[in-house]
Amino acid sequence: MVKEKEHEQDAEAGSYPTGQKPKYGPFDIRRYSPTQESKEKRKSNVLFFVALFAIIMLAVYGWYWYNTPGGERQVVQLKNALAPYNPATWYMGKLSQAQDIGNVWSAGGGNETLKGVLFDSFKVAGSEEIPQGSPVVFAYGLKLANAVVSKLPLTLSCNIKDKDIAGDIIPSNPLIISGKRITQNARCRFNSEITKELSGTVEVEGGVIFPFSTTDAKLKVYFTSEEMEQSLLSADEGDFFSYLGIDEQLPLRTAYNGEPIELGIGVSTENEQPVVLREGYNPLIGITLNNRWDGKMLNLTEFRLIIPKELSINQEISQNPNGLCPFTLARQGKTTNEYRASEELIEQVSLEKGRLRSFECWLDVAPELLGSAQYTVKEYEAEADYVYQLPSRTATITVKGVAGKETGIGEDLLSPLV
Amino acid sequence: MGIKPIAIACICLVSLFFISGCDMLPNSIPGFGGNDESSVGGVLSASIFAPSNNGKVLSDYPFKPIVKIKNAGQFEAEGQTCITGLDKDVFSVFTGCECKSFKFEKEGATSEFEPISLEFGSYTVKPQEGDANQQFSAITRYEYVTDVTADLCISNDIYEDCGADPDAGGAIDAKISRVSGGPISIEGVQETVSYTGGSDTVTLIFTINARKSATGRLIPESDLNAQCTPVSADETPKVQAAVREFPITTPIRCRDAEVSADSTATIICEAKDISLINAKGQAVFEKGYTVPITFSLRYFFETVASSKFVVS
Repeated sequence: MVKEKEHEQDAEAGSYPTGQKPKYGPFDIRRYSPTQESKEKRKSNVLFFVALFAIIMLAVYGWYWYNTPGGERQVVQLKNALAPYNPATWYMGKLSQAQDIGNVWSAGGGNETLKGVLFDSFKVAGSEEIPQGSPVVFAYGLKLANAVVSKLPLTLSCNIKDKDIAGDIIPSNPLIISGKRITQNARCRFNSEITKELSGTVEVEGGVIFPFSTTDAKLKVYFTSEEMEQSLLSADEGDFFSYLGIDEQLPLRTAYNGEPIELGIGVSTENEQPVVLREGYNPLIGITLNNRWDGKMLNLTEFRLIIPKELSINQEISQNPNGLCPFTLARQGKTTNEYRASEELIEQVSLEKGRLRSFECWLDVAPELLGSAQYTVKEYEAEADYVYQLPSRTATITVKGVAGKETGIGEDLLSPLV
Repeated sequence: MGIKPIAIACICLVSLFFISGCDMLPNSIPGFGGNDESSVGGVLSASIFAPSNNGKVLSDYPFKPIVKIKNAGQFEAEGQTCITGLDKDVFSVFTGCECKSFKFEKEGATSEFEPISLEFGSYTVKPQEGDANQQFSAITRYEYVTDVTADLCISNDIYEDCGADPDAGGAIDAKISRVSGGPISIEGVQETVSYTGGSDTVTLIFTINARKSATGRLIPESDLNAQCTPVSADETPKVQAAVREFPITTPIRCRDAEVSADSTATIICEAKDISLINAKGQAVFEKGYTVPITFSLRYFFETVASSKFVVS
C-alpha cells in the first residue's frame, strides 16, 4: 500500500511519463531506460567520433612517417615494386604483343629452370642512411644459373636515377665470369665527391647486360614420299607415326632449356610432320625467337642454321638474304650445311619482354635425301647469340645533410657527426 | 634332423645365385634383346631384336641390326624384310633400304617353325657429338594362308535333315572342324542351301566371315617384293579364297574379298547345281551325310616394327 502511494507521488512529480506508470514499483530500472532507437543513435555517434579520431591520428602519424627518411625510402621502393603492375604498362605490352603477327613456332618442354645470369638483388652495402660526403657502395646479387661459361663479360651499370651520374663498378667493368658460378662480388661505388652533392631520398638504379647463346635447339624432322602418304591414306591405316609404330609426342618441337631467348623451329605453317616430299614442292623451315625472360634482347650478334646437306635454301623463292630469311651459306660439312645470318640484317633485331620474331626460308631438297627409303629422319638445328639486358633494380638511400647546410629533414640528427 | 634347415637354406642360396645369374644372359648386353616378342595367337611376327628399343649403339663400331621373325601359325610363310629410316649420314654404307628374304620350312609334320634371325649391315656408325637419337623401321611383307575346314550338310531334304530354315533364306551355320592360325582369322562359316530346278538340284553358297586379327595390314600381291617402296595406292589388297578339299565334282567358285574398315572380310563361295540324285534317280546323299570342305584364304600381309636407340 505504501509503495503504491509512492508511485502515485512519483507520477505526479513527473519522474516518468503519465500513463506509463511503472508496473513493478518506483525502483524498477526500466522507467529510466532510453528507447532502442535512441540507444543505437548514441552508439553510432560514439563510433563516428572514434573513427574520426583514428583517421586524424593515422593521417598525422602517416604524414610524420612519410617525412622520415625511412618512410620516404619505403614509399619510393613501393612505387618501384608496383611499377610492373601498372595497368597502363600491361595494356601497352599487350598492344605490342598484338603486333607479333605471322607464323610462330614454339619450343616444347616448358622448362621452368632458368639458364643464364640472374640479377636477384641490388642493395646498399651498409646503412641506408648516409651523411653527405660519405662514399656509398651498392652490392649486386648476381647468379649464374644452370650454365657453364668459359669467359662471359657482364656489363654492369649503376646510375643515380633521373640524374646523369654513374657510379664506379668494382672490381671491373665488364666483369668477366667463368665456370659454373659467379664468385666475384660486384659492387658499385659512389665516391664522396658525388654524395656531397646529394641530399634526401636518392634512388640508384643497377643494371646488368650480358651476352648469351641459345644452343641445342634441335628439331627432329621426318621426311617421307608422296607415295607413302598416298599408301597410308588409301589403306586407312592411320597416320604415319602410328603405322610405323614410332612413339613421338606430336607436334614435334624443339626443347626449351630456360635461356632468355627461346628458339622454336617448325616445318610448315601448321608444323605437321612428316614432311611429305612432293614434286615441285619446297618445304619450309621457320624459326621463332621468343623473349621468355623479363628483360630485353638488345640485339642479335650471331644466328646460325644447320640443316642436312641434302637441303639448301632456295634463294629464288626465299628472296634470300632478306629480313625474313637472312641466312647465307657459311660452311658445307660432310653431313650438314651451315648457314649464318647476315650481320646487317640481324643487328637491328631486338625483342622486348614477351615479344616474338619469326624467320622463314624455303628449301630445295636433293633426291638423295630419301633415296629408296620409305622415310628418313634428319635434324634441323638453330643457334642464336645475343646481348641481353636484365630488368634494372633500384635501391634507395637517404643522404643526410651536415649541419649548417640546407638539407631538409633530420638535420638536427646529424649534428654529432659534424 | 638338424641338418635339414641348413640344407634347405643352401639350396635356396644356390637357386638364388642361378636366378640372379639370369641377368647376365644376352638380354643385358647393351643393344640386345629388349624387344623379343613372342608370337601371339598363331601368327607371324617380326620384331627388332637389335638394337633394342631405347638401347645404346656405340659409334665407330660395326652396327648390325637384327630382325627376328617367328611363325606361330601353320603355313610355311615366305617373304621379305626391309629396313628403312636410318640416317644415311650417320650409318655409312646404308643406302636407305636393305632387304633380306626368309622362308619358313617345317622339318616334320607336327614340328613347330624355328625362328629366323635376319642380320642386316654391317654399317659403320660415324662418330657423333654427344648422344644422338636414331631410329629405323623393319617392314616385313609376306604371303600367308589361313585354312578352315567345315563340315557341310547336304541331303535330299535339306530343310528337314540339315535344319535349314526356308524363311531365313535357308542358311545354316557350318560346323568348323579345323582352322589354322594366321593374321586373318575365321569367325564362322555359313552355308546357304537353295533348291534350283525342282527338288533334285541345289545351289550351295558359303559365306566365310573372317577378321584381320594381327597388327599390320593387307597388301596387294604385286607389292610383296616391292622392298621399301610404299604399298601401291591404286590397287586394293584382297583375300583370295579357294577350295582345297571338297569330295564333290561340282566346281566351287569364290570371290576375292576386301577387308573393310572394321577389319572384317566376307568371302563368298558358290557351288551351283549340285545334283542330289544319280543317273539312276537314286538319292546320292543320305540323311546325316556330312561332307568336309576346306577353304584356303590366301593373302599378303605387311607388319612394321620400329626401334629408337641412342648413338653415343
